[in-house]
Amino acid sequence: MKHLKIELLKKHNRLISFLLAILGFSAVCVLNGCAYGTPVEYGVPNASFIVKGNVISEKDSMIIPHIRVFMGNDSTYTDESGNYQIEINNFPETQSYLLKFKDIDGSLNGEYQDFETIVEFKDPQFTGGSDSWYAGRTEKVVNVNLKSK
Amino acid sequence: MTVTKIAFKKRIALKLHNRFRANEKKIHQLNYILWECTLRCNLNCIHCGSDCKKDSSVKDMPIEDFLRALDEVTPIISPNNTMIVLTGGEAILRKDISEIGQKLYDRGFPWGVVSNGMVMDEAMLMKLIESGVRAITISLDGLEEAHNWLRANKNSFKNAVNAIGLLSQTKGLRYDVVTCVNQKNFSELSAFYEFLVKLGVKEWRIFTIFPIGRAKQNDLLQLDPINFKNLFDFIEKVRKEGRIKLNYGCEGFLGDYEGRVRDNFFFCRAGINVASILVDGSISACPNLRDNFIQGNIYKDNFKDVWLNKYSIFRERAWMKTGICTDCGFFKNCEGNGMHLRDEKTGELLFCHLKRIEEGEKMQAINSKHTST
Repeated sequence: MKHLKIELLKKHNRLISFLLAILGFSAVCVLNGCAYGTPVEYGVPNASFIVKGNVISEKDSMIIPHIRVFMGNDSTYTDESGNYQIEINNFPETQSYLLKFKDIDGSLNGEYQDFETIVEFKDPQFTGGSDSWYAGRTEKVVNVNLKSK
Repeated sequence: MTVTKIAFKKRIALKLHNRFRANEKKIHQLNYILWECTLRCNLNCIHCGSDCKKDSSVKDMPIEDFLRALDEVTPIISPNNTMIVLTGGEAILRKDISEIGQKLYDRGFPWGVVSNGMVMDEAMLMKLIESGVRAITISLDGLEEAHNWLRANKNSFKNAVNAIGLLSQTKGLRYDVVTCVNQKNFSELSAFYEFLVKLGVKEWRIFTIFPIGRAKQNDLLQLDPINFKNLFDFIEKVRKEGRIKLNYGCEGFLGDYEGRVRDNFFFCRAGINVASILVDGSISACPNLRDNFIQGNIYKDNFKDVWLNKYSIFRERAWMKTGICTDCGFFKNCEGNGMHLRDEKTGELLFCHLKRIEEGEKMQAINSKHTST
């Protein structure tokens, strides 16, 4: 009975984590380093969560380079072909991330509105793991059409 | 906007996080164990919260004693998901450090070590890697003069920087740098930030020094309210630049700075997910929680029983609503700050981050008023 209650509480917390991600706040499940400690995520089983895709204009389907893409605390830019790839290392279990797209180069490649979406890796399957703590990688493709300003 | 005026979206998120924290307390899953494996230290830092000496008269705890306690608690934890952090003193002064690491590794525990870098040379690093170390934290408290002042040793900066250089060249090992910000190094933080980036550091944590241990005796260790507030603006700026992953440490509810200066909202996990075994066998939550916070002793009690049946003062924190916390509107978010900031005898709060930031904001406003008139 107690075990069931604990499982329910864990599920509840996963739901809260998901809602917090929607609100733009993340990593509630990860212990932050204590004064005498090291961040716990370093040494435990971990995996690469990769999101990649293409960013184009909703208006004319033109590719958009130099869009800044944020996920967690990392960010990257779309390349000259409008492609991006971003990666986070985390526990090898269900994870969700807020993915943000931001036009930071003004009118250079057209001016676009910011866009946000949630990427959920539910019960992910990993490939290329090692014998030690690394479980491998899992990928999602998120293609985005940005609206003009 | 002041630090106590929190945006609507963040207020909703904080409410959700309160629920999350309440659930975590009920789940009470141990997943982080600190072992104060020695009190011996090769430095004599002026801010040190522990009671370390160069040649401590307190004997190191034998590895067998710690492993016995670990084996007791293993049925209720998942070793692969439980981090063991060796601390001290200077943990790597132990001659049996390889044996310790190997035995933890064989049991399936990831383990890490916090070091001042004084003896972290190539040979030591290889020794640690071969015995399965997963994480290393090096303390570096500013540029040369400021660091050597705090560490009270003219070679401490050089050695710590050498250690960081070695770590940054080691593939597959994640490490971070921890900095205690104080009055001596505050003005050079921007230059220090550039220095760390050039050194190849990817992850950096900043702490402010709290008034316990030797730190109580030295005013230079505490930031004044304006600089204390400005520190959070600095952290936010660095995080936005994205050249290094910077987090403020695990203490203090920070009002509207929550979600801006560290990855997660404030949550003191002492006794909720974190336990410590001190050098004398005491079972605590964090190594700097002693006296009334001790929950048992591995030489008298079963670690598993202590974890399951004690720790009520950590899981139920209503008792902390005393003193300046009594009327605080943010108590639900903060729950009385980090446990290490409560007086070990009286339980009174020694330092409130939010109040200090507010004080800084007020002083800044007064100063700018004077300047404009």
